[in-house]
Amino acid sequence: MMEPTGTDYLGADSVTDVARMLMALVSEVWIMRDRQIVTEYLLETKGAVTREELDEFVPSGDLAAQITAERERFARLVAGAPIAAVRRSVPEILERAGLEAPEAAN
Amino acid sequence: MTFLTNLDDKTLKDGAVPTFALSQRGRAGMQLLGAVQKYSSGVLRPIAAENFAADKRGKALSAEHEAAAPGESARDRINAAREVCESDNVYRLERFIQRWVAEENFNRGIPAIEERREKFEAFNAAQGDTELLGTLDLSAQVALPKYYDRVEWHLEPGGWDGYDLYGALFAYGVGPYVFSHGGYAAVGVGDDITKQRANTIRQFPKESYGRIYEPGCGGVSTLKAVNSVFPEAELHGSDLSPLLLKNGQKMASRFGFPVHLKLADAAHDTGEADESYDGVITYALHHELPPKANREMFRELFRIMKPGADIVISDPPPFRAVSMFHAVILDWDTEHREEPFFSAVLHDSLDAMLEEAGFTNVESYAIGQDQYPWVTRAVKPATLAAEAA
Repeated sequence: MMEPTGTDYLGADSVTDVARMLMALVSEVWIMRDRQIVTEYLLETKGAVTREELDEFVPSGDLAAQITAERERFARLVAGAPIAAVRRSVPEILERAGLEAPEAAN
Repeated sequence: MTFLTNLDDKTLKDGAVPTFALSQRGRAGMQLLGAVQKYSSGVLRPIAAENFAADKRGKALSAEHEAAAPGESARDRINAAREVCESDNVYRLERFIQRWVAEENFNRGIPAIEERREKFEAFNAAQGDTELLGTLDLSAQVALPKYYDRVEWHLEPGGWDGYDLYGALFAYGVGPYVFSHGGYAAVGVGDDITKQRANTIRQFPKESYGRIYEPGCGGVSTLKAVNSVFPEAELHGSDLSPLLLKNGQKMASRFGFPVHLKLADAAHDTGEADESYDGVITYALHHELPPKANREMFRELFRIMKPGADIVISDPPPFRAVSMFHAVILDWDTEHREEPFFSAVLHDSLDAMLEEAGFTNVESYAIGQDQYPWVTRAVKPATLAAEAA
């Protein structure tokens, strides 16, 4: 067993606050991921993009659907991480990743 | 009650002032809250419910809850069931996410709307130049009841009037990106609260109505639904919040229907004439008042209703109507989402309160999943003398 690393500065009561910090970070990562998808889209469709265009852009149609699917997969992987520790069948793992389980996986 | 949460649906008046969108950062941040809450209520909560059902003590409490005689207190059972729930990591994770999203609706939402202040003020100014329909009467000297003052409902900093752009925050952020997925408080996952309001209005038994009144009308979300079902009805509403009422009149005008709004404490004095309304609607209101104020409000509503008039109510279901596990979920809001009277009202009976006030034909039933919306409706007797006979 590993040696204790020293004083437990936060203590068990702070677990929820650590989770709040984690979720704040998760939000920031998602905002960057969303911006990356929008940037790629605008570069592909217009060839160039300004910061203002990125700030003002509101996805619609197929792009909005694609971002929604990606956001839900992201939320599932983060908020479902504790579940992933115990629900570990191949179909469950594929479902969390947003993939359909092929017949052979069942 | 709440601010209007959908500003751009298909019923928008021709030529209405166009709205605006959040920035990419604001939009993406709010959308993530919606996605995480949807996962929590749609996936984690059913797992927690399965775990509760599989627990020996949980099973026994569920059996007791289902067999309980009407009127029997559920407080002890809910407390015991909460202990069982809290021994489950998945339940605790689900509740943490619910709380986190409720905090972030404002922690993240207020900055998201503040960075659009200039655009919102321009929209508001343009809106102000258009014709306002109906009337707005803020002249009454209304003392805020003790139960209302200083409560930060749903964790809203400063309460309903605590930030001048709350109307915009709900319309552009929380409404479309978080509430639209359902899965919070009594609202079932995937449920659309706009449709739920319209379905509730359809519980009025008559084909048409002359004058309809809504206490606690907030930003006119429900009066908008009333207008969609009974376009001929003259709509009146009151609220304790000047900010909600001002927003309400602007938004009703934007959709092209007149409303007559008044600052009033409807549990004390609506300021309306005796026997002057054909119908009364209340929506998600009574759980925000202590039982005593609800009883006073029903007496006041009875006074202003015409003989034969109908009252339709939608509020979270009473504990006796939901599963043991769901009772724990609903009870949680009282302590964790700034709903100080939520449990007290769900332990009580709106049916009994209506009967005490003199209403007859009282009935209550669910029209959606998880027993929500829970509708209670009743009639003011056509002639009091005939009813007594």
